[in-house]
Amino acid sequence: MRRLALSLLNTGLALFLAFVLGAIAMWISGYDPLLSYKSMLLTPLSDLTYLFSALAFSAPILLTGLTFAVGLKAGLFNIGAEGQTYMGALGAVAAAYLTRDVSALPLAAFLGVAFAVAWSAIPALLKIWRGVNEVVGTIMMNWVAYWLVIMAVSTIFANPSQPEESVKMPEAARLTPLVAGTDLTLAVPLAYLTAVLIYVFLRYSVWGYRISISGQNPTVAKAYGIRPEQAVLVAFGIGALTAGLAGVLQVVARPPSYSLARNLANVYGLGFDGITAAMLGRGHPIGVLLASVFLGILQEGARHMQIEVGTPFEFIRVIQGLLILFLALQMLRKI
Amino acid sequence: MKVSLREIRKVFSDGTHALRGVSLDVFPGEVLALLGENGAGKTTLMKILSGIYRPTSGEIYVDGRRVKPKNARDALKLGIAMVHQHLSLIPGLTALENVAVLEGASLSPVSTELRRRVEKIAEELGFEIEWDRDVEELPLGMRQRVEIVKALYWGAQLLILDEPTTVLSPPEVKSLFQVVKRLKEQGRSVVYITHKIPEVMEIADRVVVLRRGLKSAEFSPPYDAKRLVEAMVGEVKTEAVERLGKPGERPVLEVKDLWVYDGDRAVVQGVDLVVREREILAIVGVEGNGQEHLVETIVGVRKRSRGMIKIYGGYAYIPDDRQKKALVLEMSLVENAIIGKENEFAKRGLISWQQAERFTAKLIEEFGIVAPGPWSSARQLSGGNQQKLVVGRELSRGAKLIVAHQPTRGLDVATTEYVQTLLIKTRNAGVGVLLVTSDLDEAYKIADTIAVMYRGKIVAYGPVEEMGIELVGKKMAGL
Ligand SMILES: Nc1ncnc2c1ncn2[C@@H]1O[C@H](COP(=O)(O)OP(=O)(O)OP(=O)(O)O)[C@@H](O)[C@H]1O
Ligand SMILES: [Mg+2]
Repeated sequence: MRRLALSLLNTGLALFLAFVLGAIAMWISGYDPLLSYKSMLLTPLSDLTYLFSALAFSAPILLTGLTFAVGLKAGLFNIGAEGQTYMGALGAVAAAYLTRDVSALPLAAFLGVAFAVAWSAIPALLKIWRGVNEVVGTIMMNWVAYWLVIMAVSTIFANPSQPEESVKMPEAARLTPLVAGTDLTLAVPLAYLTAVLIYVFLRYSVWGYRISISGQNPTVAKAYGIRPEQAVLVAFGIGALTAGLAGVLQVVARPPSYSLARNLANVYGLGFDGITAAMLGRGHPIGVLLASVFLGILQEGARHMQIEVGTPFEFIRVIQGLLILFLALQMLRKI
Repeated sequence: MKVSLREIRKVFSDGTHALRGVSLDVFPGEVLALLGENGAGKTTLMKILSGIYRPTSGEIYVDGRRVKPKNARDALKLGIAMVHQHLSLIPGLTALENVAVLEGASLSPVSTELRRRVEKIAEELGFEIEWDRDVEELPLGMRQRVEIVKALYWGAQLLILDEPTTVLSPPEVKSLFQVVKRLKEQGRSVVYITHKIPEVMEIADRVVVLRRGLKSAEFSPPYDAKRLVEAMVGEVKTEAVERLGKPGERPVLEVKDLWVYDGDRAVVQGVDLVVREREILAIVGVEGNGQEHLVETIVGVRKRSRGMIKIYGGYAYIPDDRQKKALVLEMSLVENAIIGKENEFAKRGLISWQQAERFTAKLIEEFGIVAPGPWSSARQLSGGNQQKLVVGRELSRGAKLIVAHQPTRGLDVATTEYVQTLLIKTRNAGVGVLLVTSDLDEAYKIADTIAVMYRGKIVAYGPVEEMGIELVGKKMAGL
């Protein structure tokens, strides 16, 4: 209980500092911080359409956040969610290209997740076999994925009638809004359910337990028959599942376009947001869920801020960056 | 320098009353021994004196002046330094850098002036220390000497040694005693925490016994060993258990021509050994002769370079360093209790924490582990209670082989006895035990067979009846 209270306090402090410094940045740039924050934080809550849109934003952030959180448990700094999300989206687009009926949906899920898992296997194996630091490995794979997916979307999977995006999911295979006129699709409950499953996995499963032991003390793990390499593989694999799912959902369940933008706009930066969510949620799946809802509200709110007050959307990046900085400082101090 | 503690109480945040009003004086030039069973509060009391913990209430005086050290550095400024039970040098820095690191003295390079003074202190104490090696590469005994030099370099007048001999071999113990005497001659005081009565009788000017957070007795020479023990644990009842029957025929562990390298150094050089059912094989030797590598290769933590290892019927493992090799300190006792047998508590891949908790509660009860509860973290246990947790967990594993590396390190008299009895009992039940120890008394007390390890080789091997102590002593010294 005490520990929980303490970490809530720390998180609160980091949030407070990030918003204060963000406000100063706004003020210096000539925008009204109070009005900006008011429309950023309150407008999304004032209307069901906005709120659902915020929740829609939260879903992929949550899924990539889980990637990072599971990595942390295993003692890994797995920042590969970004690239794995691209690969997940690519799998969905490939499915849309291959079949034009409802079967594109399961195929999208399968291909997307398979691509993402294959993508994460490379840094995982490099780490196990060659001792390559996972940060280096995953960053490398993120960039390879970035250019590879852009190339694929610009060539084979290009949409002849709309050059700015890939082929679209066939209509029958789309997950359309649960409430007409909003962005709220099945992606949202699916993501939240995933968080609960990951929580159960980490807290109750044998492998979740092994991951935590070898993450905290690989020597102990080895001495008692837990192979840390296997734990690394499992953690990378599970992380790739959720990141891949995020990519798939950004194509099959993202109205109105149901496609992947050629500049990757609908998947770009999700891995980064996920890291923020994971740190804000202290690596606990349910914490990450709450954090991602908060970040979703910020995303949605930032649009309103730009429209209502004229403060540029980009300030939310400033705030998020500061937030990561403060949270990271707290983590460092603990070590 | 005279130091006084007055009515010190300490209640930890989880409600553990570790100290319940202890008063104590340490006079200049005095060696004060602090005795007490596991969890009595010895370490906590001294951590308060050396600024690491804040007392819940009570006062500290140095030469009559009230002081409130806020951290270890503060205490050191007052002339109080502590060498910890679980040594605390910074890995990745050399020995010399570890001395310099306090006060932010320049590390790269460490000034020649500092080096000279450090080497002088070491020389006065008769220490030979490889100052430019990473402390992690140094044997534990040498690390301890580094800590002592560090304390003296920064002007310690009162040196606290927390169970200093648990990591030392017999000759190293002798030289530590010399050092303690030298410190005394220099007018410094030493607080010496231990469980070992013979040590107390040899060097203590005065003995204070703690029991469950209170001072239970105070002695001055001449000491009566029996009364010291009684003050520590109440009455001693030892249930004498004998080894029954001869060792069996079937092996539980076979090692053939085993070679292990550390870098390009051959640390284990062609070791052959067999542990059979109902046999306790004790490998004795001065620490640092390859025992650690041998053990860790057998249990699979290290890679062998050549040779064969066969284990029949699973193994249990009690490592020599509980904090680094046996426990995950940040995790709860429950999570620590099921390491390596998590499957037994799982149904369809999901662990039943209720069942695991019940098992832990049983361990706590059976092995007399003093703990706030099964869900408190392993870090909150006293050193000896951490060891009991490890021993309990391993003995309840039901393996045919037990690899026990210094299993009684840091245990009080009664618990040491208890663990040794347990090892004999499991042996009588048909289990084979590979006991690696630098404590000859222990080896002679419980082993069927003794092997001497020296510089990576087994230099003598035979039934305990044929291995006279004189022979073993010689072989240990490489003669
Ligand atoms: N950080 C902590 N939080 C909670 N309880 C603690 C903490 N450190 C020690 N304790 C408890 O305080 C009591 C005294 O512990 P302490 O470490 O002082 O014992 P000790 O006399 O040094 O024993 P040992 O001989 O086993 O090292 C024990 O019951 C222990 O569990
Ligand atoms: Mg202690």
